Amino acid sequence: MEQKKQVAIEMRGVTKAFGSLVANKDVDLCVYRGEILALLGENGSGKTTLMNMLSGIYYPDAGEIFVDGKSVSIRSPKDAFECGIGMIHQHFKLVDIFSAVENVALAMDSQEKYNLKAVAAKMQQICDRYGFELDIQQKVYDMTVSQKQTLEIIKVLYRGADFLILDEPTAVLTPQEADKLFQVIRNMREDGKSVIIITHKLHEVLDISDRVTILRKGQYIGTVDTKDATEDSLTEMMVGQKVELNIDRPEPVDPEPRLILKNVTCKNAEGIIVLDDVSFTVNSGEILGIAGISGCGQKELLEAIAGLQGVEAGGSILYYSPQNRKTTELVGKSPRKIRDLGVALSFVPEDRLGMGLVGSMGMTENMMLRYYNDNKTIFAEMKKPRKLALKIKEELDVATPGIDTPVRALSGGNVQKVLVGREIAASPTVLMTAYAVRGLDIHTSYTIYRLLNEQKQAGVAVIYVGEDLDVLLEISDRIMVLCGGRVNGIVDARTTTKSEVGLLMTNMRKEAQHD
Amino acid sequence: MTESGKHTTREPLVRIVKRGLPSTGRSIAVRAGSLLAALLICGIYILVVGKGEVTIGNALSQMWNGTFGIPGNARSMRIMLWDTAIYSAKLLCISVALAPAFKMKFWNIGAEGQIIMGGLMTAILMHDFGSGMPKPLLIFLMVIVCIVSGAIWGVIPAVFKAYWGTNETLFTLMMNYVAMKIMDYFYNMWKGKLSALPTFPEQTWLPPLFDRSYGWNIVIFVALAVIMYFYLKKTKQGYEIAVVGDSANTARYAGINVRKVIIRTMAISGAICGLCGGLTVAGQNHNIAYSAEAVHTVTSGYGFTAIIVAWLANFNTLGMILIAVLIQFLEKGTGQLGNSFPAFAVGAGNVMIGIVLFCIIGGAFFMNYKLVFRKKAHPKHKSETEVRASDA
Repeated sequence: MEQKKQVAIEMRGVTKAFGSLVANKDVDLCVYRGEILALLGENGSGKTTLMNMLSGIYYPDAGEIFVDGKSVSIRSPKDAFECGIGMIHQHFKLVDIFSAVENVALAMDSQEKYNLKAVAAKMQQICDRYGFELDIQQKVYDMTVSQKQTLEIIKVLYRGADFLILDEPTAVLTPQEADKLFQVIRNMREDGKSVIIITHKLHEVLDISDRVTILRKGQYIGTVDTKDATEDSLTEMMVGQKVELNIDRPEPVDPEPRLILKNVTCKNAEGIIVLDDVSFTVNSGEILGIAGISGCGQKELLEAIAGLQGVEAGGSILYYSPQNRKTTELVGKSPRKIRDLGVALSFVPEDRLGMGLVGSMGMTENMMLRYYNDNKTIFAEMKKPRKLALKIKEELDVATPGIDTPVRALSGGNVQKVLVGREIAASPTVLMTAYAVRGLDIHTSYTIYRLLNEQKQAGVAVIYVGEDLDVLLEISDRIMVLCGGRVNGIVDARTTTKSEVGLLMTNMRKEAQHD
Repeated sequence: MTESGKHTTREPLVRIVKRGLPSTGRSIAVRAGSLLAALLICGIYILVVGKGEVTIGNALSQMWNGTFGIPGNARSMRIMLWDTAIYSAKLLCISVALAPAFKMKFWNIGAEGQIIMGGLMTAILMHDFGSGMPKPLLIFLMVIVCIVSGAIWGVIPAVFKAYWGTNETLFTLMMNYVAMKIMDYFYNMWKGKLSALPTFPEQTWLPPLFDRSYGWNIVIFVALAVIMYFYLKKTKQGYEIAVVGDSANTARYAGINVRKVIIRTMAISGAICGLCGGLTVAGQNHNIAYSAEAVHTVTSGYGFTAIIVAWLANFNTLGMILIAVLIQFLEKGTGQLGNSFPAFAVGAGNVMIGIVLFCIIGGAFFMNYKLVFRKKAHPKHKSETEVRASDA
């Protein structure tokens, strides 16, 4: 058994940075022949970046890659194929109007003769060998997501890949399809192939892998044998030990409802349900933390409240004004309409430069996003935004050459100060923030925590969507955990534990699944 | 395993690496470098094609004379300067029309069609209703009609883009050919058996200014550049255009109605093109023609040239004044160069404009990226690799 454990691919000390963002730092990884390795980590922990360096999409800044013990330099996907490495990406790369066999034929060598019959025969062989179910003549546009994925895998195998990388393969599959996929993957392992599965679903890791490598925040945490691992031990490695941050948490004063959501369901552009029957209440004077693996409906939830995301019939988002206790229904209204109705809503979106701010504009013009319309002339309001820009620069200590320097040129922390400053200056009743401290240094993060706490003490209802559980546990009054677009529990942040929240994030509770 | 045997351990020879935001210093250096490269290549082109018989100084003075007239010769200067002025102004006007659309990242390459529609509708008024109408009313109608028809031609692709996400580049381009064919139809119908269409009756022309029937055109075209400058910089609508152009998501977030902005902006863009067409027909050409050979066509082909002007001026409509004159210098100057030296008779203008554009637009690459060449392999790194290989 031991001698069969032959190292197939090894990565040593691999580092990759994008500008100031370090996606992978000094990561080691090793895959044996004939094994399934799970690459586990939260979103943004650098899993996909690491694999993209194996598949030739990125080139590492430092470190070495060995295939079968030889140091290689993988400069392009073609190089990766020559090393026998094939990756199945989350987004499929298929020609829609071609049939399955034509898509595979695209991957042929230039020396090979174009012979669809031969290709089809070889494909059929692969299907039979590993147990794929696929109609080889079917057009891609007629295929389900699962069939497309099957085709991608066959394509990679056809090209002779010995090492397969699957990037979150089950994200788009139903449980039954996932089971089928896993069976195929096991068949491949029996055949001596090595498979790396990128995932953040613990039960899948335990179900299929032989070993698990865990990344956290771009760093290599460790590798364990799956048979020695439990959900708890993996969660701990994935989210880390509890760290004391000493963020202030004043007690909420006279909380009363500001937003009441009932049965909110949202579909994305592809018509897939991304937010499923969500109901909860947001109170004044408290911070409601929202936890969840990214892509579990956080974005859609906030955008639905802001009027940017359509809500399916039957859902309701009621806003309670603090002044006159008047209620306003927000569903079905545009952002402009919501503002015109006097709803004081501020929103710090996840995509700061792509949604919250205009990257090519300076601070003044970015303040104008909220105020340019605040006069009765045809000319844009500039005085008030300019004053506000100066005030925010002063008070939040924004490091910028001037208030007209494009905000794109500022560092991430300063960009966020501009955005948060503007949204708080609008004196909101409800303040929504998505990943407010992502990518920020400690100092700026604490500035943001302080600002949020000030808002909370001023009676604002704060929604804090976060990814760092330590922060969520310390800053929130209550934590709502989303899992797969559903509310998987609302816990008291003062008494809950990190592992409780971590498990809620990764495991759908049985009751929740059935109601 | 044989597959991996093919492999070397070398880094790629050249890698493209993203730079930080361009500083003022770098952007000046890149621009200056691009211009220098353009001049250098143009110089080489003149020397090579002129087979050494045409010096660069010689060529330049010919180009100057062809654009601004022969220094000291009053008559030549008057003719050349007015000619350069009206064509620069026309080119400027169309570039100004493109500015709001481009600022919104709506690639309107349909200016030709929008100009033609404005010009054609004005021509119909001049041809069919011109004689029976008081002149002030006629002029008023002409202006309204050309603006509206240009706007309609611009709004059609905008509606499709706003509601169904069609590709505006292809759409506006195709609209050009539709407009050309419509104009051909009227041209041939009016021309009948004549060899060419005679000019429209003089009572339908725009009133002269500075002794020229196109005097008003120059004034209006330049005024539009100034107005557009303030429209884009200072008004609410101008601000909305900039936000939509940078990020439609941010615009939605800020409560801007993106569809409305797209349609409204293209209405403005098309309207100015239409106005340009109408004024050209009523004030300058007094005729319609569109064919590849004709110089004095409604558009002069500027619907495409203006794209270059708009880009080179970075969508700053005041900067476009300078660029429009520069393009005129290259176009008319090389025409004169061709007259004097047969070697440059055909296409010299396009070659030189191409060189300048290639250098300036290509140079912009270095604003945001740099090239990293492979370093010499580190000896230490290499030995480790070899040890590793021999282990295996």
